[in-house]
Amino acid sequence: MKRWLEWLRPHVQDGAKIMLLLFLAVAAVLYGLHVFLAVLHRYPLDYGEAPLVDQAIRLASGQNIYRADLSSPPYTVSNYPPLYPLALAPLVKLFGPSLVAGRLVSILCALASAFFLAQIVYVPSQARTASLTTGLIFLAFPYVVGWSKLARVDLLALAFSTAGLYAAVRWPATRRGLVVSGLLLVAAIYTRQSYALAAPLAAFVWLWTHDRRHAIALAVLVGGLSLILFLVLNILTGGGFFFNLVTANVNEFRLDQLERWLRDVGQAIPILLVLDGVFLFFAFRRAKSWSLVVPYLIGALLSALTIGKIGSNVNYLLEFSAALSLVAGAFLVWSRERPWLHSAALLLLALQVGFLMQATLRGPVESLKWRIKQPKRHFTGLEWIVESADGPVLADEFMGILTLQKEPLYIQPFEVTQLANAGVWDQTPLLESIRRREFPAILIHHFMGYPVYQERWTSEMLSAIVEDYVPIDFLADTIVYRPRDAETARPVELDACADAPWRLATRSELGMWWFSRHLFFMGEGYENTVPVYAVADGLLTRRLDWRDAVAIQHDDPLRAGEKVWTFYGGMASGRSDESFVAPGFPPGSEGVPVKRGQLLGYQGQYSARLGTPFWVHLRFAVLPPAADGSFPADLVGLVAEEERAPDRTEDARPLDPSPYLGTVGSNVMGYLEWMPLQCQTGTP
Amino acid sequence: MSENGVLLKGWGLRLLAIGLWALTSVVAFLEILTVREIAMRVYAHFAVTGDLFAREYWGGQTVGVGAAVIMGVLCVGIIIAAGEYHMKHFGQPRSWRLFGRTIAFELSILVLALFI
Repeated sequence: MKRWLEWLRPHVQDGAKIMLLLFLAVAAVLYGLHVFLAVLHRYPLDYGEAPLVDQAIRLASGQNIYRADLSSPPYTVSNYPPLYPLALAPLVKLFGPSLVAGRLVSILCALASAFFLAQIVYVPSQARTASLTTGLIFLAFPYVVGWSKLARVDLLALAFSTAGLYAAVRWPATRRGLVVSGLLLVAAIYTRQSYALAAPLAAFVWLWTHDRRHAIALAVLVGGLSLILFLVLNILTGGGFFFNLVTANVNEFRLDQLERWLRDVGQAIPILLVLDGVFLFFAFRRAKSWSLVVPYLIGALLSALTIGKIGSNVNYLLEFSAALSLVAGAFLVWSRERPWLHSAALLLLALQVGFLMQATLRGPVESLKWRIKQPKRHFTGLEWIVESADGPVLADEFMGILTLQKEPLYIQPFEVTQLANAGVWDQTPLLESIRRREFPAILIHHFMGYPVYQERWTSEMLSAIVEDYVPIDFLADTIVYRPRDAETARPVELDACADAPWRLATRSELGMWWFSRHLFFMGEGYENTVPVYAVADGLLTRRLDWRDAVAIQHDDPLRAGEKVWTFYGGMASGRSDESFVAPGFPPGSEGVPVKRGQLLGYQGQYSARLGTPFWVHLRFAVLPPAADGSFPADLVGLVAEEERAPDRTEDARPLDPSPYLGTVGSNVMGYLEWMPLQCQTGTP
Repeated sequence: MSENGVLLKGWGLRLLAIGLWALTSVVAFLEILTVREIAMRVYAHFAVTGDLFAREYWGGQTVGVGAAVIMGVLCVGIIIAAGEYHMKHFGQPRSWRLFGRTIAFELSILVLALFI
């Protein structure tokens, strides 16, 4: 038995290695596909891209990007040190404003980071598989895949910091190594300030184990140079550097957000977290790289915990991903002397890469697809709005459209909203400008099911926009607001349109989708928060299999003596089997009297396929009764084709809801058409 | 097993080698479908939005057919080459190593399909 195990051992190890390398290769292909598609897309992929390109444009023209006073426009904030916009400035000068150049810088830096991480493992161990694993597993993290396609500062900072660590590992005992490492670590800090912790700490502890004088010299070099640069920049900008980097970065910390991210990390990287623990406790003083990897991991973890700040994203997890990749490589090196443990580690890492790929496909790949698959006419439409505007346009997610048109940013709404919430910035002048309708267009983006706009605009700004502007279009999930013409377009009351026989069924701040006489009222807010009401008196029915819907039979107000049905669907969760229909109407209800305005339930993200949530909505339809007067379930797709009533004619279809509700209608059939919620009379 | 690490030759081992070669060949052909499935799933993840009129249908079909054709050609080539290799090096460690690697690779593809 022992001999057979001995014979089997190298084959198992070989097989495990093949499995890991295959998984890593597929993950690398996914990474390549993802960033390739992102680079081909010239429009913004993220809120944070445009401000950096805008800063590069201003730097290229010799302007100060760190203003200390935000009492007058532009209301923009430079949250990061200047190295990344400085790197973009010559590209902007040469090729004009482009998001693609910044994305290419990020992608190259991600690859450079992977290379340096691999080298950090390879130099002391000469272990090729471990080194390759370190580099490639870094590129498999969904956070790295998702972020390295963006024109953001983070990957440049990470490339500098991993290069600094590599220099410390490669030349631990030479002055050249010390200086190169120190300068690179300072460059990382002056690309993104949060890189002042993990890599400098790891380099310091690593050097301490080799030569204490070098460690102290590195600390003096990095700390001293960073401080001097800070003082110089702060003096040159009249205190603006401190204001932009420190004051304007103090956002509210939310524990629920931290918990959500921790849960996400736990689901995506369970195996690596366990390997971390094993390495942390069992490899102490046994693994050569312990004194480098563990301080880096601890520093990166502390840095990652600040992800609870409002507005934070997966960029806070990039350094942590790099640290985990180093642990993976160091673990493989350490376990080389224990063949069966080594084989198990290889297999476990292969499975971990599988989980990472799953998270990548469900996360960044899905998000990118939805962004770039928006119809091109939506983006060109937004471009036209900006191009034809005769004044500054306010935007959030699609600020980049302004930047691409060489328009300077007037506002970074998220940043100034946080400052206003913290009482550091007075929004009154901006509110007055909105109320004076000085902006020819305002573009507010909406993410399906998550009202991010509430973090980007203060409630006062939103109120002013809703009162003085009117939504006229919905392009690339962005509502286009134009100044409200007081004579023709008064605000739509939520209850009812004037002279309409019925009241409205629910709120519809995001407008309505018209689909072949079905109306999807798109309320703003989370699931189960936007109430749905009966449009008129009637008798309610809820069949046993209706999780999300009820129907009400009414006296038809337009055809005396006849009956008509209204259908209310979508009142259920898109992710679970939770129903949001009011508890007074359990499944099986029939003929329950309801009054006009009675609460029926709440809007949900229900779609026919569980797990594929739609926008928060109410699906509403007005239907003629079946021949026997019952509810015509086939007209709302609740009956299979073969079960349709034989006497139902092919042209039987829902009635046009517009005359009943008094809203503006459409004749479009067959595909979704967005329209703002507007009354036919123009006045409520 | 002999002292120098070469497995002793005999009918049993000969049958084992033939059996392993046949098994890995059959699995390789079956995995054409698995790889096609993986390629189509990756395509769907990147390209298909599930719109009412999915224009990506034919794109998915093309990816699937392309993957099947490439895999088919590769499988035939590899099965023949591997057969020659095992005949030439029958009973030697390098032959068993190739069997080990082939089985590992085929298993890996099956496991990969669970994640994509």
